[in-house]
Parts: sequence; C-alpha cells; structure tokens
Amino acid sequence: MDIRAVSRSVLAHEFLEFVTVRHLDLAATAWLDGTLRLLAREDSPTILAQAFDTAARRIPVCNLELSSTELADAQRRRPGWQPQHWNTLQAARTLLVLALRHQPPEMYVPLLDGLFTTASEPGLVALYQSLPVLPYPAAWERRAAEGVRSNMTSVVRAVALANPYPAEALSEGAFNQMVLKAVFLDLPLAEISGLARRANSTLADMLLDFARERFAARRRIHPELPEVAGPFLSEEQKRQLDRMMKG
Amino acid sequence: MNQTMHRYIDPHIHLTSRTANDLAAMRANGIVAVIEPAFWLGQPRTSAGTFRDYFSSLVGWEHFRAGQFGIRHYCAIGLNSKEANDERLAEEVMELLPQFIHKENVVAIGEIGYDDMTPAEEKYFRLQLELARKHELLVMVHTPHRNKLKGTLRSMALCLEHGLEPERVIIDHNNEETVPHTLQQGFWAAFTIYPKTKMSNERMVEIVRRYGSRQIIVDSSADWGLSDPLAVPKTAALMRLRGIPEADVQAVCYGNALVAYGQAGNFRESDWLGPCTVDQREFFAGNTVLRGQEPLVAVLAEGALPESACLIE
Repeated sequence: MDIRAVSRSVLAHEFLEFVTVRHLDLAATAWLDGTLRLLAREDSPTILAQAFDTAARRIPVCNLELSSTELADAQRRRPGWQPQHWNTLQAARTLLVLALRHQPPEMYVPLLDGLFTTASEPGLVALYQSLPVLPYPAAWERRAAEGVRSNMTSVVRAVALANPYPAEALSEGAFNQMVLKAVFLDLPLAEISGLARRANSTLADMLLDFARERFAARRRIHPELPEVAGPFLSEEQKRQLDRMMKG
Repeated sequence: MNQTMHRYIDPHIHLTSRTANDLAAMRANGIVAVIEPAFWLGQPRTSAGTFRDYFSSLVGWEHFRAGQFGIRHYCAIGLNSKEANDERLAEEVMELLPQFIHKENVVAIGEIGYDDMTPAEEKYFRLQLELARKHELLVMVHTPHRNKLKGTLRSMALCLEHGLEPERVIIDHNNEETVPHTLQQGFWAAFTIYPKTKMSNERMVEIVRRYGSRQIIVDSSADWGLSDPLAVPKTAALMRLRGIPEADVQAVCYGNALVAYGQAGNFRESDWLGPCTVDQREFFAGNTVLRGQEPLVAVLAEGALPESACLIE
C-alpha cells in the first residue's frame, strides 16, 4: 500500500471540500453532503456512478477561484497539484470518487474503470484531472496513456497540462508520446509538469524529426520545441533547428 | 458570425454517419444546436459492448466533434425499434441505459418506438416509456415507415397508457395523414425532411400553411443514406420564399424545438448564444478562449478551415 498516496487523497479531499462548498447554495451543499455520507455508508459503485452523472444537474458550475495561498496549500498537500483551472463540478466529482478511496484496489480499480468507460466528455476531463489525488497511483498508468490518445483535445489537456501524474507514472515511451502530441496540438509545453525532468534524447530526436517535417511543409514549428529538445542535441543539430526556427 | 443570420436547431440528426464537411456546412448555414438520437448503425449489432461504446460516443466524441465546429451537440439514448427484436441483446441494453441517461448532453429517451410492430418491439417500447416516466425524461418517438398511421396512433396510445404527458413526447416522422392526430392529441409533431422516403420541403411548406406552426418541428434525420444535413435551413428558406410568416418559420425551425427539448432542463439557448467563460481552457468552435483567434465561422465564410482547428491525428 502506498501510504503517501493514501494521505494525499485524504488531504486533497479535505481541501476540495472546503474550497468547493463555499461556492454552493444550500440545495447543492445538502446534495453533496448527503451523497458523500451515503457513499461512505453504502460503499456502492452504482450510487457513485449515478451521483457522478447527476452532479452536473446539482452542482452550479463556476471556477474554484483559488487564491495563491490556497494554491500553495494544495501543493503542500499534494506536491505538483495545480487545481487553478478546476471548477466546482470537477471538484465535486473528484470528492465523489475519493469517497470510496478506502476500498481495496481489487474493488476500487474496476470501479474507476467503469466510470472511465462510460464517461461523457466533461466526465473524462474530471477523471483525468483527478489522477494526481487518487489512491493506487500505479493503477492508472494505462488509462493516462489512453487519455493521451484521445481525439478530444479537452481530454488530452486534462492529462497533459497542469497535471503531475504523467511525469510521475508514465513510461518513457508513453511520456514521449504525450509530449509529441502536445506539440502536434499546439498546446503550451510549459504547462507540462516535469517536462524538463523527464525529457530525454529519444524525445529530442522525435521532436527534431517533427521540426524537419514541419519545416519541409512550410508550416509553423512549435516555438517551445527547441527548449525541450535542445539539451539533448548536438551542436550541429542545434544549429539546424535554429535555422529552421528562423524560417 | 453575421448578426442578422438566422439560427436553426436540427433536433434529429445522426452525426455519427456525417463528415466534418457536413458539420462545417451546417454551422455556416446557421445551425447552432443538434440532437442526435440513438439508432442502429445500418446492420444489427451483435453484442451489448457495441451499444455501450456507441452510447459513449454520443456523450463523448460526437459531442466534442460537433463542438469543434461551433455546434452544441445533445443526444437521446435508447434501444431503437429495429434492434429491440433481438431480445437477448435487448435485455442487456436495458441494463446499460441507466448508465447513460443522466449524462450532461442527454435530453431524452430515444429514438424508440415501432419498426414492424412486433411483440418484442412493443415490449421494449413499453419498458423504455416506463424508464422515461420513472426518471421524468422526455421521449423521442420514431414512427414506422410502413403502416405509419396505425403505428403512430398506437405509439401515442402507449405513451398515454404509461402516464406520459403528451407535451413531453415528440412524435417524429409525421406526414399529412398522421399530423392531425398528433396535433389533436397534444403531442409535438416533428417532420423529417428526407428526400423521397419521408417528407419533402414543398409538402412541409403546405403543412405549415395549413396547420400553422403550433407544436410543429422540422428536422433532417440525416444519416448515412441519401439525406441532407442542411434540410432545416433549406426548408426555412423555402418557407420564406413561399410566403410563410417569419414567426412560423422560426418556430418550426428553432423555437419549438427549444421549448420541447428545453423541458429537459439541460437544453438551453444560453448554451450556444454566448461563449462559455467558466473554464478558460474550454475548446469550442476550433479555438480556445485564451488563444483569442478569429472565430471559426468568420473563417468558414471565406471558405477555408484554420490550420489549428479540428486537429485530429
């Protein structure tokens, strides 16, 4: 059992409850409170699945509006956690999912799998965003890699950006694919957590190849590409990349 | 977007079988919202997993894909009349429905009803009407293309028998024979403008001329067959040409669908009238709010798609 992951989940749960409830009216608070207590009592996957869906009707949606102090607190509770873009519905859904966190992995993992399998687009975004605070971190690696393959850009962003999970959990191959996809989709690479730490020469080679491809097609090369690939390229490769960037 | 351009809703279209070109054309011609009911895929499914993945696409990929073109996508979930005839499979699909009917963009149970009017079809029609009643969901009814009058009358009778309010049920694929009954019994009467096999534009004009616009809705049911995803705006254009009052045109091509499906609570004009500002990262109409690029529709008007829009690997 990963003690650190367990305590992260608890600390995250506490944090999310506090920062979410202040945005909710009485009806929404009552629903969320009641549902969390019901889940704690009943331990039921069916109740969780239904609550995860109907939350969209019960929770008014607005950004959590976290202050810089609160964001720092989030980081202390779960290093690398960046919920600045989260909204109340995503937070509520994460709370629902965390309500069953004490279940053993042989029950919890299939439960989450079921949610991923039938999730709507907003549901998937909430689930992938929540990966850093879920128990059993090793269990979600395949899912995260699958999220990167999604055609839904919102889902790819939820995995790749402002999320410490991929850098911690993905294999080199899967992480490289994520970075390449981010480049392909013109996403802000600076928002990929742990990119500098996980960058490698295989990735640099792939990025250089991709830059050559874009250059040959007279298409824009991602402006952040040189910074990521640079440390692993030879002087000659760096010169070539530089020339291509200048067009 | 051109401020004086008319807005349309197509409340019955199978986007799963339509290309990106269709989506671009739809948006360029004023369609702002669509409803995609669950149906068959042209040949019978043989396992529940394929239903699950299909329903999943209606609340995921199809919703996202339409959004890339600035079209708000909603759907109806249900076991269609054709595949209700495989009872073993139908039982499994009924177990799946509760897992999808509460998703964000689901506005109704549908499209359900009769195809050949077999006992199996009736059994699952009834079970789904019960599901709709229990969860207070709207129902989109597919009326048969053979034996239509009898099938439509029987469909409405079943809805009433199961305690559904007629104003919460949309009876689709009406024609000249069924419409007086549908209207008289208080149901929404939708018409599918589909060349040759269903209603035509010209006939639709005359129906509105005769009955007015009350309770009447126009849709395309565009699918993989010879059908037209621009049926709604084209019908509106023809109505205007033929002297139908503007208020009636807007009602049957936009307003009535908004009222009928608006009863679901999650089908709102505000969903498509203004940009969503809750999440700055939201990806809609081919660009993010943060990137502040030229609106997709303006670019569409010039005949080219921006490079960064709709990137699919």
